[in-house]
Amino acid sequence: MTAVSEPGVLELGTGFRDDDVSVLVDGREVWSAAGVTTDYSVGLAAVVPLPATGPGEIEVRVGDRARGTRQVQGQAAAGPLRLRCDLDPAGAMALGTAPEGPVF
Amino acid sequence: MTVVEPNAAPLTADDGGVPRDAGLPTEDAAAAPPGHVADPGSAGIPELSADGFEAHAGRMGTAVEDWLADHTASEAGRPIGPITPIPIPDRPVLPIRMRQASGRYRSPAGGFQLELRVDVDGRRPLRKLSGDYVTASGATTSYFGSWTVDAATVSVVNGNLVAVGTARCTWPTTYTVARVTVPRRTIFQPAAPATIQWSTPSGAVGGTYVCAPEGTAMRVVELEEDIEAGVTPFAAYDTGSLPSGGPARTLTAATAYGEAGIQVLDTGGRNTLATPAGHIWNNASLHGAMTAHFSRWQERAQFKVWLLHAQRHELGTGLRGIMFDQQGLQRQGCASFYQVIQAGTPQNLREQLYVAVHELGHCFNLFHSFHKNFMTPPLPNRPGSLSWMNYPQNYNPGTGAPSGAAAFWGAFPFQFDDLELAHLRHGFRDNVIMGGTPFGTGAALEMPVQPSDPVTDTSGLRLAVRTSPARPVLGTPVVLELELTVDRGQLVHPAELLHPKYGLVQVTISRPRGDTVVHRPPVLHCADPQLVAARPGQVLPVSAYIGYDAAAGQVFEDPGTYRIRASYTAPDGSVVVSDSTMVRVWGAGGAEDGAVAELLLGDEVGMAMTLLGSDAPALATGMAALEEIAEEHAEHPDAVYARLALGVNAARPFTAVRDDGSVSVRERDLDRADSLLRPAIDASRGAGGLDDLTLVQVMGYLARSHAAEGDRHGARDLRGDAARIAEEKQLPGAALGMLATDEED
Repeated sequence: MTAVSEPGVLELGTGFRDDDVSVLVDGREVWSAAGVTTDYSVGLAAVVPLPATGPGEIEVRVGDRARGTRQVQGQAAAGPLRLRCDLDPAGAMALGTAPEGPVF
Repeated sequence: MTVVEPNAAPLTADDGGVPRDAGLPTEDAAAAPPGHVADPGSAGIPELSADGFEAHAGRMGTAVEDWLADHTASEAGRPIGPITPIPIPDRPVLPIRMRQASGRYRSPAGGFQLELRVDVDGRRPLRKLSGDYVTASGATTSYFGSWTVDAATVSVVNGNLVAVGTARCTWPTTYTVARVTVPRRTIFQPAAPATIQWSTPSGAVGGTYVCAPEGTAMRVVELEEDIEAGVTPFAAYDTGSLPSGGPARTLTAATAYGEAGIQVLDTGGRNTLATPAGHIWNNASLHGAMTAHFSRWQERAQFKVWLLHAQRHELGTGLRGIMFDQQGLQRQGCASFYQVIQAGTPQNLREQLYVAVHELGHCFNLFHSFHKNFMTPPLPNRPGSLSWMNYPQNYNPGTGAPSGAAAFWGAFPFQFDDLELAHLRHGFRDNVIMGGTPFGTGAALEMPVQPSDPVTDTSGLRLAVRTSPARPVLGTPVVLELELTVDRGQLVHPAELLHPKYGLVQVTISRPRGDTVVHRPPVLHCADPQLVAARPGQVLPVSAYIGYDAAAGQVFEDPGTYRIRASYTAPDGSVVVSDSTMVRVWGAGGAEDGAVAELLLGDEVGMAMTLLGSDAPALATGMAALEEIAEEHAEHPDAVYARLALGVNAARPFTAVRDDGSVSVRERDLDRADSLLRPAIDASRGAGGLDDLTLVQVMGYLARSHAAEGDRHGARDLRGDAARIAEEKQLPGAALGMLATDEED
């Protein structure tokens, strides 16, 4: 959905409730924020810009209640990186490629 | 007089209302007042049709098998057995277009004032009632509370439409039984007032309100649309421009809501916001624009909403719209973004319409179809919903049916789904009104709840329910057996009218997925509201297939425990609530269980089971699935249900209407009926197979079919066999009425 100029983006989607969230690339924190909450009008809590990177691991930490990782090819090989992280109502995390299509 | 709460408040002229006897419609009135057009429905209960015409239901026979009776044809105009299959009016009556009763009504100001919403006919009737109370004090009026009847029992008695049901209220009260009476009027007469009388479940009478008609819309909202410079705002879209799932018509955002029962009024305050070229909005600037430009904006709850037609949001061109107002009193404003959908192509106009209705839906506190489980409290998601609130690309009806945007647009009828419609029309006021509860809170309260225990019940009636079979696996058709026991002699409805399809008994099913379904039989019946004098100790039994629902589809489609409760509205208005019964649906235990479950859980199979078979082409797939079960899985325990539906269908003629209006009749195939039903009967003589009542009904039905073909001996044998089974199984005496013989038998 997002159209940003960064090499990649990570959409924080559903299930966030006033959470402390940090995003790490290959173990290095590249983004963090407190009070992250999903806006269900658009199903988004935040759009996190990702730095240029080669193949590596993206990790999302949501306080103490959820954590997930995903291996990525890097934007050079696979084009602009668009990931999405959703939590289900029980807190289980799904971290994968962001879906296509308009948002409203 | 001390007014404690509105439902208990007795109405007197001192309250500023209408005296109790001033013009209240009486259901016992024997004739229409002079000058009134005679109500052709006064002799019975007319069916209420969406177009306002009353169709005439014939009188029921005396002892009938409930659902079997519906599919019995007559031969040469000669009724078979006690069943009267084709309604024949006593005299020809031309249909008179009746005025719709559904709509909004309001009681006089002073004390408690009630806005009453009646939703029983007209477009997509939900059989619900709801209302909001306001109370006046000095020069101020304050909102007091709201109530909703989730499932009203609707009938027409002596020219009055009567809707009865139990209300959920936002305040504690024991006066929870609402009885709304609206005199039927033709379109040539002025609309009549609606009268609501409250009572407790045990019959203690509470407050009465006479409410004047205000309009056919359930709610009224003011909409102000402002436009960012350079944007050509959406005006209208012809839904016939591209393939869709509904009739072609021209829709605006306002008319789309009008179809949902919400009247949208233009504030007339439209203006243009002059922004710099390339301006990009964010939520804060949108909120600022709303407070500056929305002529009706106040920091208070009101049915007023603002829509900005803008170019672009900071989240990118993929964002087509947003309900940005999520601070303070929320949901008062939204925006749609045109940057990539500005050109007036049909696709763009369709999307512009979709975005506008969708964002305004958020302002009414509706969540996305796939985010319902994040609401407070939550509901199950509905990714297969053909609703304004889904995302086309997220559309997934399941069961392998086409999904995605193309499938969505091809089937989308440009409407909200039923639960959303219930919220819009009947949600508690604060959960719907702009500036009410925060976005997502209270957005799911329209989920029905199980009826609560009455505080007292002196009705002299008891209702018991249990399910059959006792241990269903996934896919097994679930039958509810109901027994009404009469402890104190009184007039009650005959046993066959206790079937939920007649509306006197409501069945509520709490499912393991977390929702509650008020069962809506796919086929509803109207019958003469005849009563029978029941003696103390008499038991009135009926069994009903409840596995398929008009709104929810397959009800028992998940393994897990289901809690089922029923309530019966007695002739005196008492609401008799059964105890809850639990049934656990077991998962498929093996490959064959799984295969049979997959066949039985199809929508067409559910409908075919409801009808006990059909030759209709629309149900061909369902009937083929039942054939496959009967033939390929003949030894499976659930094959008995397939044989039941196939056999009953074979035991009766089927009349098909061709496109040119002519009819063809497929005659009864008694050999096939015997080959299917007799094994089903034999499989049910013990503890397994069909429930006892259905078994006796089927035997009686097959006996009548034999008699109709001249096989009186065979019919007699079947009846004798059925009588022995009924005795062995100790069925209530009323069950034997199903074996009544015919004159020619």
